[in-house]
Parts: sequence; C-alpha cells; structure tokens
Amino acid sequence: MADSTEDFEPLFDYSRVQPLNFVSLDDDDDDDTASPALSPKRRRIAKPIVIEDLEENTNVIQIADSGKNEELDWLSPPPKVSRNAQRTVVEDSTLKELRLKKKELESFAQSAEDVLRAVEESVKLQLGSSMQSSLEAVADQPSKPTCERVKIVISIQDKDGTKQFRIYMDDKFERLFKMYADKVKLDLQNLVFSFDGDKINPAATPDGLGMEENDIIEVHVKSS
Amino acid sequence: MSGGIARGRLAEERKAWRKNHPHGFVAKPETLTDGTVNLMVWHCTIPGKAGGLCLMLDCGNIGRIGNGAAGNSRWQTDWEGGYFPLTLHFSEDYPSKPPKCKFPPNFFHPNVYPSGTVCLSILNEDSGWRPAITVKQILVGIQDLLDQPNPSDPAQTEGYHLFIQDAAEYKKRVRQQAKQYPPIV
Amino acid sequence: MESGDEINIGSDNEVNDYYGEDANNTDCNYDSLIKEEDSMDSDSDSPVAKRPRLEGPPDRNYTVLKQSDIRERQENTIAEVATVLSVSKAVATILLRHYNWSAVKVHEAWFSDEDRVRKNLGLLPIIEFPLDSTEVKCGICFDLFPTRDEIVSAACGHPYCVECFRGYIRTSINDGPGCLMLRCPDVSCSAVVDRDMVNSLVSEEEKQKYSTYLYRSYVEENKKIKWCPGPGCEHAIEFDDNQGWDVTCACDFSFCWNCVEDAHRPVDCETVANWMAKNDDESETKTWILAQTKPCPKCAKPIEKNEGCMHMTCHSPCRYQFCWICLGDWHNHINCNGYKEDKRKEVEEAKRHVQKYNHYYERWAAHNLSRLKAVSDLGRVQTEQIEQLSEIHGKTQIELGFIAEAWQQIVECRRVLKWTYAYGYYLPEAEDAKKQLFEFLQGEAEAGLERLHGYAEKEVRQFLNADERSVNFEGFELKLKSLTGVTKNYFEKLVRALENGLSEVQEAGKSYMEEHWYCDRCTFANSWENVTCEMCHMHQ
Repeated sequence: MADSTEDFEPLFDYSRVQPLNFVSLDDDDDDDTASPALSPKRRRIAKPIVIEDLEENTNVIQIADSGKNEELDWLSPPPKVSRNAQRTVVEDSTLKELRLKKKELESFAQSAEDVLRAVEESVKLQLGSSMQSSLEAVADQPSKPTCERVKIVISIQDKDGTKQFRIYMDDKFERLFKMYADKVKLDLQNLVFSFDGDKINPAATPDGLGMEENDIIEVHVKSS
Repeated sequence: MSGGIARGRLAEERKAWRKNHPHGFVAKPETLTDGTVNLMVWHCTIPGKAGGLCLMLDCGNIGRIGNGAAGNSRWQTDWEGGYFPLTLHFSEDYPSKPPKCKFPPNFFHPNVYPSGTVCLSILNEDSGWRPAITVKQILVGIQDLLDQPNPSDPAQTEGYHLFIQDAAEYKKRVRQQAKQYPPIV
Repeated sequence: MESGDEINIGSDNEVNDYYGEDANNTDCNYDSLIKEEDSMDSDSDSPVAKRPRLEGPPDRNYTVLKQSDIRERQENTIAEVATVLSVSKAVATILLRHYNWSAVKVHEAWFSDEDRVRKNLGLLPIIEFPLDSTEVKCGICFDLFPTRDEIVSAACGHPYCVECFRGYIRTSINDGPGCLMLRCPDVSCSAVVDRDMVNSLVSEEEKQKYSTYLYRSYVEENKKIKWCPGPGCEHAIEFDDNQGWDVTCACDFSFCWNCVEDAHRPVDCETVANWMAKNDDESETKTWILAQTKPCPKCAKPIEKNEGCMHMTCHSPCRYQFCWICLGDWHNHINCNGYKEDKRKEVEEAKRHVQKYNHYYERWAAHNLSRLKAVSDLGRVQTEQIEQLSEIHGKTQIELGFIAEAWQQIVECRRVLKWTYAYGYYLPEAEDAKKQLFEFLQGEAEAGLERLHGYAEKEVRQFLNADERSVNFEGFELKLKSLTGVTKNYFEKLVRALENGLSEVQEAGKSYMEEHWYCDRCTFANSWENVTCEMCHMHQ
C-alpha cells in the first residue's frame, strides 16, 4: 500500500499527476507546431500558478514565431506580449538587434518546449468546449486538420505506480493497451485493464466511457 | 453542519478519487436506472491486503505502525485475492456525521455486524469520527481492519469466536470468503 | 484515592478560602473519606471529620447552592487558575474541567509536568498557518479559499473554512456536553477547540448552550457537589462530611446525597439500590426498560443500546467503556459467555425467594402509596381543613398547627416504615433473634402509626361539621398531640435500632419482649421499672 502513508497529504495535488515525460500517441507532428498558434493564453483558469507559467512561456513563443509565420495577423496578441513588443521596439529600433534577441529567445523556447507542451495540454482540456471554437478557427488553415480531435492524459496504474499516456478521446483503447504492454514488456494476453472497477473493452474509447483528464485506468496482471 | 455541503464535498472527493486512488480500490457513486448519479450512495471495492508493512487502524489505536514480516520478502494475508464489495451510505449531515459502511449481509469478520455494517472507531459518530476523514481514509482503514480485526470490539458471534478460539478454522473461513469475491475483471 | 484534596475544598463554604483550609487540615479528612466511600453505611464509625472553624448550624453537614452561588464559585475558580498559571480563562476552563474542577489538582499536575498536561489535553503551542501558499483547501468541504481571512484553525494550524468550522462546533454543541472537549476536525490531531474559539464562531443561542453545559459540568464533574433531584429544583448540594447522607434541599426535597434516591434512613444505600433494582426486575411494566437500557456502571446514566455491538461507550464526558452483557470494564474484558454453575442453584432458590419477595414488596409498595396519599392529605389539611376548623372552632391557624404536625409525622413514618420492608427482606434468615426483634419492633411501629393515621384521618371529620361545636375539641387536640409525640419517639427508636444493626439483640436477646411491658394506649415498650408509660404516661 504505497498510499497508506500519504493519508494526510492533500488529495488534490495536481502537480503530482502533471506528467513530466509524456508518451505521445500522436503520429503526426503537426500538432507541435500548430499548438502555439492556438493561443489559449488569455484564458482565465482555475490555477493561478498555471497562468503564470503559461504567460511566461507563451510570450516567448509568440515572439519567437512571429518572424516565421503570419499568425499574429489573425490572432490578436495578448496584452502583455504587445507591451513587451512595444518596449522592445522603443529600446532597440534596429531590426538587426531585434532579430538577435529573437534568436536568443528561440533557443530558450526550445528548451522550454517540454514544459510548454504539458501546460498547453492541460489548458486545452480545461478549456473544454470553448476550446472547440478556436480549434474550428484553426481548422480553416488547411495544413492542420488533426487538431479537431481532443486528447486527454490518462494514467495507467499498476501495483507499483502509474504511467501516463496522452490519447485521443475517440481512439480505441486497444492501441493504448498494446503500447503499454510493449512498454512494460508483458504479454497483452495477461493484462486486464479496468476503469472504476469495470473491465475495459479494447474496442471502447475514452469518450465512450465518459473519461476525463487524468483519470486512472488500473491494470491487473493475471496470475498465470 | 451548515446546510448541504454533503454533495459538494462528495463531488470533490469523487473528483480527487478519479485522479488518484490506491491500486485495486474502487469507489464510485451509484448510477440510477435513469442514468442520473446519486452522490449519496457509493459502491466501493476493497482489495484484500497484499501483505507487507502495514498501518493499523483499529478501534483503539489509530495510525500505529504494526510489524509486518521481516526482511524484504512479501508476505501474504489471508484476505489477498478477494475484492470485497462495500457500500457507503452518506447522509445529508456528511461530513459532520460519518457514512454507514456496509459489506454484504453475513460477511465473515469479527468487527462486522450480521447486517454487514462495519464497526470501526473512526466510523463511530460519538467517538472517532472527524469531518476531515476522507472516503480514501475510510476505505484504507477498513482494508486494514479486515486483516487486523479488533478483538475488543466484536460485532458478530461467529467471526469473533473463531478468531479467539480457533485460529486455523478462522484462517480457512477467511480464505474461503476471499475466493467468494474474486476480481471482477 | 484521588479525591483526597476534594474534601478539604468541600468542607469550606468560601471559595476564596480553598488554600487556607487546605493548609490547615490536609491530613485529617483523608482517611475518613476513603472509608466513607468504601462502606456506604451512614453509621460509619470512623472518626468524624473535624470541622474546626466552620460556622453555621452544627447539624448541617452540607450546603445548598443556588444557581448564582454555583456561577460565582465557577468563575472564581477559573479566574484563580488563569492567574496562577498565566493562561487564558479558556485554557483554565479546559484544565479545570479535566481535573474535576479542583484547582488544587490542576496546580499539582501543571507544576509537576506542564508539557505532559498540555499534550494530554491538546493545549498545543500555536502553529501559524503557512502564508506562502496562495490557496488553501478547507479540510471539510474541500473547497479552495484564496485568502487567509476565510480560514480558521485551532492551535495546530489545520485549515478549515469559517463556515465548516462553525458547522463542526455547532454539531458538537447540539450533540451534548461532549462539545466541552472538542478537538480539531483532523482525525490524527489532538488540538483542543477552546471556549474562545467557540465563542468567536457560533451564534448567541449556541454560545448559551455551550455555557450551560459548562455550568452543569461544574456540578456534575465535581466530586463534592450534586444536583438536587427534586422535581423542578435547580439547586445543588455540596456535601461536607460523612455524618449521615440524608440532606434536605432549600426546595424541601429530602434525598440521600450518596445514592440520590429518596431519603431512606434507616436503610443503607446498598440495600436501597438492591431493592430498587429488584423491583425493576420484577415489575412487568419495567421489563422493557431493562431490556433497552442499563445504567452506566460508572456514572449511572441510563444507556440505550442502539447497535448490535456489545462494546458500549458512555456519552461524553463519562466515556466509560464497558461490556453490555456483564457491565464489566471493557479494558479488562475477555469474555463473559461462560455459564457459572452455581447460578443454577440460585435460580431454584430464587423461586422460593419470589414468595418472600412478594410479601415484602407488597408492604413496601403499600406504605409508599400510603405515604404519597399522606403527602397530598397534608397539603389539603394545610390549605383547607385548618382554615375550616379555625372558622368553626374559633382557633387561630397557629393553634391548629398540631394537625399539620401530625400529618408531617405520618408522612415521615410511612417513609421509614416503607424502608423497613426493604431492610426486612435483606435481613439474614439465619439470624433468628434479630429477625424476631426486628419484626416485633416493626409490628409495633406499624400498629402505632396506623392508630395515629386513622385518628388524624377519621376522627377529625366530626369537628368539620359546624353543628357539632359542642363535641370535645380539646380532647381531640390532646389525643392527637399525644399520639403524634408517641409515634415520633417510637420511630426514632426504631430508626436508631435498625441503624445500629439491631445490636440490642446481643444484650437482650429473646428476653427483650419479656423485659418490657407494652403500653395499651400507645404500644410503647416500657421497662418494668416504669409504672407509667414513658411515652403517653398511661398507667400500666
């Protein structure tokens, strides 16, 4: 019972379930480049801490990307960003120096990418349906069609701990299960997955079971 | 307690449970036939404990660390392998008053009434209950009680007498019962 | 043993004087108290506790406390402890409540090991709630609160929102006096929720309730004070020493301070308890109470069993744990299932006892009823009869006081006689001589009382008729007075004889009856030396 010693810790420790290293089930990489464009930055969300992280990172991204594409044209920048940008213009009027700065920021953005992705995912889900509208907006861009599908993070818990996975809400579980079996190097035949005490049919989808962000799937190893 | 925080608190507990709970345990509010959810009744499953170092949680001593098996070899309890159904009935007074926790009727255990109601100090509204106790703590507490009965607080004759007088038969009955409640999955 | 210092406190009427008294006679009362608690007899032969400089009526060994007296004493004690220990009054209250309101005991415990006392009672040093966290989750409703203003904690710092903590305290107050020892809502936390915190959170009505519990606890947890059980009476009686347990409250209710039954001289408390319990056993109408409730073996409050578990815990503040079946202390309890062989004999004997019991019970109950009737008759006499007689016979109501006195005597005699039947039931059958003497004395007393009672009840009627003024009223007065006096004397002797365990029997033995002659008029047993009756002066 790993849990019994934690009885008096707060139960709602979101940071604990915030994945550090994701196993992504994405097969298209578009998502990564597309995501910053979604610009959910100004959204007010429940956790102030998250907001802080988010704004910091997004500012960086905004500036870094602004040279590469034209997204700033159709997405009004967050207030903070525009302030920053203006100040930059005042301080360094030459384009050269600005570019130099951008480059610095770009490299910083790269290193922050992992963190960013996590934040971005949680934001995406917390925003829920309102997110859909901006996704639709993005859908106008012909190059990013896959963004319509909602993804959630799901934990698979065995006796020793949990592993986290990001999957599409409408994706069948069988792919996830197979991946898990590979990862833990066990025969899929010997694994039983359950959610809220009920066995999960590999043909079912997270959507179908009414799953939510950070829900736990339990895995039991059959005693052979 | 102040009017009707029961449902709000239970919703929060459920939310927390979905994100984090001990392996093998199930705790979900009842779904009625029309598909609506009744937060006041939870259907739970408690896995028989798998041995190891254990935290005792009985009538007299809360949170005393008992001695498990020595060394690092995992030891088995007689309850292991069983997945025991437990129903929690919350009242509108929750968390001011504890929920009533029931196993199926005639559940074999010294501290379970013939009706299935669990007799455990932290569930006694007159003594051990405190409103800060969570569903998770209750379930873990009952899991501990299964393997560590409290002979000073018997609730049924059969389980109590066998536990006191006939250890071998008691063990047999416990293992038999664990087989009666195999994993659902 | 622990009540050694209590009696010193109890033996003084002034709260402020606790210490003076304590210093003066620390030793003298100690043994006598122990003795007194061990043997419930009121005729304890231990050296009577000295009451050196105590003024007041010498025949009173107790003090009646009115509500205002109790409050004053309580407040003084709290203030005193708060000053001496340099703690808040709320903390002093918690300490005193724990130590049965004995300031001496609080001081002793505190100054010998303050840390231990603090730990046991949950009087923890205050832990400031960490300010750095931006949001705080209430441990009861699980909601998040952005500011500290909405969060409260006991000294331990466990955070709860104001609403939930208020609800927690409110529930506890509504559940009873257990709220006086309320702890933090966290299961593993012992931090106490003191009166200051309660008062800062709850409504006026609940504060009032809490304060009432506190007030009551001063009497109920104090070993030298008990509530008067008289109907509707709110006084308490502080008992000072062990010269007889019978006390009479300012409300006129008489009771035994030791067992809180009706006054029961000459029978001891144990006999009364046995007898009353027996009556409960036998009474059909009471069997259901017996099946549903039992008195707590420690505090005697009736406990109703509502669950199947035999492990009973009495309500706060008693919290005594016992086995429902055998009433034994739970901590030493293994089981009580074994059948005791010698019980079977008892059952057979019990059959024989039933008839014996019925005999005594019938008489006990009859005298009890008769006493109740006499009490109501006394009331009627005082309000109506005396007034009527005063009008018809031209006497003042004071002059007619002898009639009320006669009735008061009847009431008292019925009470004594009633208890002599409980005494008789428990009188060992083997002690034949004692039994004979007892039955003789009892029989005579009963005959005497019947005469008085009959006379007071019936003879008076003729004088209530306005036409019959000629009848000899003075004769009636003389006879009633004489019967009252005779009966009074006789019963006093009876009470003394029974309280001495019929010790006369050793000296006089069976010849008692031969050594006396019985007055034809008043039935008093006079020694042969007397030519006229000692009581009513009638010639032999």
